[in-house]
Amino acid sequence: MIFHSLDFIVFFVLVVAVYWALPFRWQNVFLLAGSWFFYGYVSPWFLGPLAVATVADFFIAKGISRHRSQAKLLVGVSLAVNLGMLGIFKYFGFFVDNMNALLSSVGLTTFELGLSIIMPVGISFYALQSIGYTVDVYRKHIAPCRSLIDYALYVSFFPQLVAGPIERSTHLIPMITASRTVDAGRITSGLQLMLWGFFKKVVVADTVAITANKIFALDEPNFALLWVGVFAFAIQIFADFSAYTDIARGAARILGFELMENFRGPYLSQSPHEFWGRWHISLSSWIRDYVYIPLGGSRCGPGRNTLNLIGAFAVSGLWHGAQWNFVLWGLYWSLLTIGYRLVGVETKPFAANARSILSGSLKVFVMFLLTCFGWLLFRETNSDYLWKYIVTNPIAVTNDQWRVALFLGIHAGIFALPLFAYDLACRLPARVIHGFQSHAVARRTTELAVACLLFFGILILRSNAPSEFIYFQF
Amino acid sequence: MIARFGKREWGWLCVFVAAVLLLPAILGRTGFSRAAFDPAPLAELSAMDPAPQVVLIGDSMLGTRIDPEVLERLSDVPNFVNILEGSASARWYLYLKNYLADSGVRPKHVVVFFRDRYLTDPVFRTSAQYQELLHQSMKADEPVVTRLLEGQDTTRFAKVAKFFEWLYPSQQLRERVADYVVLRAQKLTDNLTADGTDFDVALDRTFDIDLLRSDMPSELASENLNQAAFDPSPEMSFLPHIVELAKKNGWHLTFYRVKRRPQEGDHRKDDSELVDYIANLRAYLEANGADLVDVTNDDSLGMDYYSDGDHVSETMRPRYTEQFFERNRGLFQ
Repeated sequence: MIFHSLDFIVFFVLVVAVYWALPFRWQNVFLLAGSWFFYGYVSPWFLGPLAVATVADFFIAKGISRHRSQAKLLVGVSLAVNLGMLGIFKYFGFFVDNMNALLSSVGLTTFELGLSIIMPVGISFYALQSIGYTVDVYRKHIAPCRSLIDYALYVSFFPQLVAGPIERSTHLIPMITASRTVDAGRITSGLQLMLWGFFKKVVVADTVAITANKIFALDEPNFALLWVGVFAFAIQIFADFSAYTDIARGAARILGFELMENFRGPYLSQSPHEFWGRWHISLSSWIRDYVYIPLGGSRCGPGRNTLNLIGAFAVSGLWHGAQWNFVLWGLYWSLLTIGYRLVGVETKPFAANARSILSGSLKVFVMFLLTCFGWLLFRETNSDYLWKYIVTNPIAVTNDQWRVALFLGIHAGIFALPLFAYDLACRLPARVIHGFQSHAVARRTTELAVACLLFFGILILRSNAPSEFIYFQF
Repeated sequence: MIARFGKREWGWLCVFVAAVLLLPAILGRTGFSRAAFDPAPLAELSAMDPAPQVVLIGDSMLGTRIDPEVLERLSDVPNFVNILEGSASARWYLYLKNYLADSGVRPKHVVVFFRDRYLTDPVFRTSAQYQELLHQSMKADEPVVTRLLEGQDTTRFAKVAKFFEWLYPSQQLRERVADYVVLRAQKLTDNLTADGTDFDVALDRTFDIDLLRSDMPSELASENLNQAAFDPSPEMSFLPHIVELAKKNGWHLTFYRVKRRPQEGDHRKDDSELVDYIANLRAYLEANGADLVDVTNDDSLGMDYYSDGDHVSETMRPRYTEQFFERNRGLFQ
């Protein structure tokens, strides 16, 4: 089921109404049933791998807790189960294609797969969440769940099941096992967050997607057009993915859960390090805690540290999809991070003076351009086209072409304005935000006005070409 | 469940939900209601002197193929080429019923230009950006349109969706806002053009279908139509209603199936289902006193005729008009 559909609205209203009418001991059972219904809505077959991961890791975690001497082995089994499923459903076709390319390059016979494998939506997200749980139990950060229902709900909690945020067991499981109370303030705040998410998806992401898709459908877009396409895609992917997160967080909040923040104004970052602390935070922190640090992190020599960084980013890239361009994208980010470290560019908070604002803005601008280049690697899966794009001649652009490109850029920019306005507002000094929040009348009036505007905006500005969330494919 | 019923918070939640849901509904009722019936085409038809004996209707398939001036010159009888941009069967039916029939004009022939299955997909081009144009052709009570459009909506919660559409009649404002944003963005770029080329021409040239990459689906911009087999029942499409209108008003109907843009080998073959569909369509039309002219296998209409998509280029339009006239000379006598 997709969030921006009438089916979901009806489903969610019914779930909320019944859920809060139930006694606590039945709430988790009902949420679990609702989550499975949500997930199996399009294809019940998808529930199979989810059930395998759930049951396997529930018992593995119990085993880890009881048999500490075999804990490492059991973590290995958990990794094998989850990565095995990922391997089969997500990477097997990629492996076969590359194997065939290798075989044919040395003149050997290639082989046919003979079956087509459909990847269950969200498998990359719940696999990481499930692995995180068994590792957390192994590290004694959390005791294993006593109830299979509670654990199953942790893996399949519908707001974040399909595209995250990738929750930590130490964060979500205590919320699942504790009783929850209906709170009007949280429901209002959850609704606001959902409205903001819907606005970003159907107004911003789906509108700029038209520009990005049109440009990337061209055989030889000129330099100006290409980079407008990349800019539009940068806006699209941020609006699209952060929209999903906001709807998920808002829906969870209404149900009494607080999911982790996944985006914090990433395009206002001054360095790659800062960017990854603001972009898809649940994934980047997962990679940091379960890949980068176990590899040795930064507590080793510079050579090893560099390798760890490259490895962590390559894993992050490959997680996004079974294509070489995603690996390239990950490697690009690792090189960028290393480059920034070598040059010694630091992230400094903006101070109230012209020099600080100027230098900070310049860093943000440069970082945004570099991020956009990364999005080009991310967006283009065909290596021939990717190379063609990279070497596009910046001079061979006619007046007409500049005009069309500028028009499309301005059009995308207009739709991006709410995103930047929101991110800038979030970066207001703490005392300003605190002062505003403590003034109840001003806060409520503003919240209501913004919510009305967002809903009205959804009604009159929504795109005529709705599309699925980009991260569904991962 | 332990409920924390802070009265203020719950009161605020109720105000919040009510305000967010109702304000746009009220605004929609006051200033942005659905488009009213547009009587201008009726007046235009009534004022024609001499009254046209041949009326051609269709979307851009007609507009890019038939040059009214060339046809006027070739033909001995008065004719009227009415291009209904972005139209499909629902608007063709409404035009014939609410304008042509009501105008009192009695043409001998009505020619409808269409592609493949366009005649029997009633919901095609009736929502989103097409809705306002549809509403402008609708009178207060349109039982056939209502029944066909609602009857075809087999999606879950169709009634809930209809209720939302009724509650928030925002489509008209939506179109205006979208146009306004495009216009503002366009104006900002106007100063850059040195050669004075029309902006739309520059835009079309940039995204010409020939410039699309080869690994993209060739039908990137094409619209998805209902792929069902031909069904002549009045519950399924506007076609039988159009046929009935023609009988009632004494028009002879000709459905002109245009050739779509040729693909590889300068030929675009129909799949077996479409072949069956067209055969059944032809049989149905002939049984009801109408004709089907199908030019999809005309090899003389090569790639050189086309500009973007299935559109015929401006330069080939006069030639196409001449060919159309030659092929259908009987209509113009």
